[in-house]
Amino acid sequence: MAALTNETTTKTADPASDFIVLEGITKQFPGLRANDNVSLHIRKGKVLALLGENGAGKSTLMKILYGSYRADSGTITVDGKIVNIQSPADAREAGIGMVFQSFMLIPAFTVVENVALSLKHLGVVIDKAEIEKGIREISEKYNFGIDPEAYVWQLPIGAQQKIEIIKLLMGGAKLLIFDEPTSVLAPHEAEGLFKIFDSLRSNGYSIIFISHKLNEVLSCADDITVMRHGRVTGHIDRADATESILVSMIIGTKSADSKEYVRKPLPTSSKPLLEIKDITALDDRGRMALHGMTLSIMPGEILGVAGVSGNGQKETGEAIQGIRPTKSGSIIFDGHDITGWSIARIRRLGIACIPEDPLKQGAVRSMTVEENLALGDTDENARDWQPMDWKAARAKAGFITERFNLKMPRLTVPIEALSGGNVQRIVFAREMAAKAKLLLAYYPTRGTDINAAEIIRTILLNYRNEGAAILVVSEDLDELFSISDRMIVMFHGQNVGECDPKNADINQIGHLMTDGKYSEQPAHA
Amino acid sequence: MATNADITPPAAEPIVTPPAVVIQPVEGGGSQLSKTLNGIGSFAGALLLALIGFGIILLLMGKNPLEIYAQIFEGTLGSTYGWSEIVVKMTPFILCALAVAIPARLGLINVGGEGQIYIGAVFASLVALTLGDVLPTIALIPLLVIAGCLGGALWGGLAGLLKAYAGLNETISSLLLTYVGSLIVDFLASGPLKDRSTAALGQSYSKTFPDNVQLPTFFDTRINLGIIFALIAVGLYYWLFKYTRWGYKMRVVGGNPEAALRSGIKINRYIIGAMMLGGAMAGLAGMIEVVAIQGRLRGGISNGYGYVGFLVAWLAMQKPGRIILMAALLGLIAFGGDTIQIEGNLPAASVNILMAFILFFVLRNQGLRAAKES
Repeated sequence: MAALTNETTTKTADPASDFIVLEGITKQFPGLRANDNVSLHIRKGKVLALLGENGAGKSTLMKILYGSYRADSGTITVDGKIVNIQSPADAREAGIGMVFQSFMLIPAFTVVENVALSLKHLGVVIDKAEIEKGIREISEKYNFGIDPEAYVWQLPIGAQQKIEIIKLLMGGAKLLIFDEPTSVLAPHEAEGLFKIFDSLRSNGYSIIFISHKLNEVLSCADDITVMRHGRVTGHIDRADATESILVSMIIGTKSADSKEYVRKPLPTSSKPLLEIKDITALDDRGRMALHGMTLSIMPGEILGVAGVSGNGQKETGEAIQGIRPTKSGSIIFDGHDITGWSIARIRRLGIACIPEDPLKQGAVRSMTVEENLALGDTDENARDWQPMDWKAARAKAGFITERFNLKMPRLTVPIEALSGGNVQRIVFAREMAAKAKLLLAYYPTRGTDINAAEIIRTILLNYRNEGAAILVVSEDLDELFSISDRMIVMFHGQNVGECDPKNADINQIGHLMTDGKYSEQPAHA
Repeated sequence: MATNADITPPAAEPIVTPPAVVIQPVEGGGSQLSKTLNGIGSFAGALLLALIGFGIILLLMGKNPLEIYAQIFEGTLGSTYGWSEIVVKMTPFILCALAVAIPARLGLINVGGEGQIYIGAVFASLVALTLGDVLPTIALIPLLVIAGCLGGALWGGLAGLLKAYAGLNETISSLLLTYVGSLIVDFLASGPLKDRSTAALGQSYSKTFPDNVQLPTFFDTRINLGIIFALIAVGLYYWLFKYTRWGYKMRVVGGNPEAALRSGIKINRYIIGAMMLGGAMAGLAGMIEVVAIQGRLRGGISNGYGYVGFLVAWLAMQKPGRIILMAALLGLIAFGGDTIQIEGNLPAASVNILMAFILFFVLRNQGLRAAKES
């Protein structure tokens, strides 16, 4: 019952209608408590929306419920009986099914074949007619319009999602978990999904709907539970919820003890170091990700970029670095129009990046520490047949040890032998050691514990005080408030608002992040 | 200055040095020596298993395996001639192994060494047939080397180009280009370059190359300058990947293409470059084969060298020293095949089974080790 001491109102649901209850769920990862004494009530025939920023612990909780992870402590009760869920198979046995963001379908198979694969007791000879009948029945009942004979690759994303639902229903699921189901859908498809929620609900199914889009939650949920920093911060009935209430539940309040850093005054130069004007670019799937993105950074300034991830932050950074081609607009850096320049040339000009996923995007596992430090070397005079400048790489190691107090292992150790956190540190330090004029820092403290995060922020501030500009993309608003000189909010591939973190209204930022608009009152300048 | 005053907080604390963080490897791992000994031990074990496996096949064929092994041993290592023939066979094996190993460092699988040999041989033959009468040997050799490398590089580079700009899988395209390469040789040998003299009636091969077209031989054997070229190539391979920026960047591409791209490495350039360089190695082998061994261009010159080179490269795990050792081992087995054909009355191809067994057991060891580590 310790959970009930948490901040906002915790409403106890009517136990009679509780279908599944999670109680006191705790899950500790190295350096991170992903779930801290979390309790959740799922009612029969109701839609429960689970809200929260990325990293709030929603996915971990759902993976525990679905048996992909095991909780360190806590209980799961189904229909009043405590169940021991050790694997997804156990979860399915208990009537819990999940629709993942990436579908588990085989494109070259037909709908029937895909559904057959998911069924438990599949004989040697598949009774296709029987399965097909089942699919048709469900399809008619819920108005899916799915042709069982169609091949999955022929079907649009929305229809594929319906196949996932059919799989769960035929597998006997009573609770359907949807992990950000609308992120892959077009708006009209999302509308369709909510209609499906309605009919599932009226047929007695329970639904957990994970999202961070407020309008969607408000339009389809019965109960709303909000998580932040691994805890449930509140539970509210749809009837009592408004956008403003939800925003403050998700974002919390600006912490009063937000740390003040030593800041050198900004140089009075009036010329921005980087100016992005109205760029458009596609994402990896070929959809428009940046719709006229505009921003500018002054030398020696930390610009914080707030926003729910997936709103074009990644694409903006990639466009700046020359990794992602832009369709229109211009990028001016340090007096050069770098639009269309090669990645190496832009790097040489003085842009470094701490990538979102340093292990995948910034390090080579099979190589040594020294070789990894040499990555992205910007010596433009060296020819390919010339020897590598290992001295420079080693000097970088020395610089890192001296400046960041980071004691390096033997430089000939392959980084496979290091922990993920340490590889992350090395990538971070290497990019800082590049002494670039502009540093792009993506989620620099994600996955680190509080102390390490504080060290990283201090280093970034020191770096800024030496005159470098830093663009920090983060979902931790407290962090952005404490380190930024200026903040912008990104929504749907655009810069939707700018503020001074000193006197910003956190609720307004929350509205900008989730809605792209200011709420009732006009914006502060 | 009013604006600056807004930004500057009260000068409370000085710039802080972060507390020390020590980065330590997660596991110690054994010493280098014990690793090497383990490697040798596991290879010897694999070899033994392969010999036993092949022995069972020999028994089924009604032969005494011990006798056959003795024949192979005697025929190869028991005479100077045997030793020299192993070296002769090693030459194309080493070069074709490099043709596989260089692209493999980028994660590319070049199975087209065979085709690259053919095109290298064609280019070398064109030089030999047009300039062979005009130039002295000493001037021809560099030209032949360049021609052979160029031909192979063209064929390998073609697969690289298709990979880089059309997304075509290099394994498939290089394999298919092999057939094209071998058919080009057949066409030239039975068409434009065919020897029209009466002695060659009904044969499909080119005129014999002029006398000037030759590689010097050593010790009165068939060992020729080719083995020197092959060893130099191994040395260059080592140097390239160990010391140059080119090699470093290629290893980055092989290790993590996404990190390579983001750090500004032009991946496509290195994909094409590695395929060209690999192809050049096989092309060089093709040149050596037509100039030093065949003395003319004809179909079927390669004898599967490209594929054996593939075995060598994988058995050696792309390591330069091991490539030489493995080429010697497979050279021995290949020549041993010739021996048992004559003495043991077995088809020469039966030793391919032995080669396959060795690869199988070595890869099995590597797989087991990888499984143990993870």
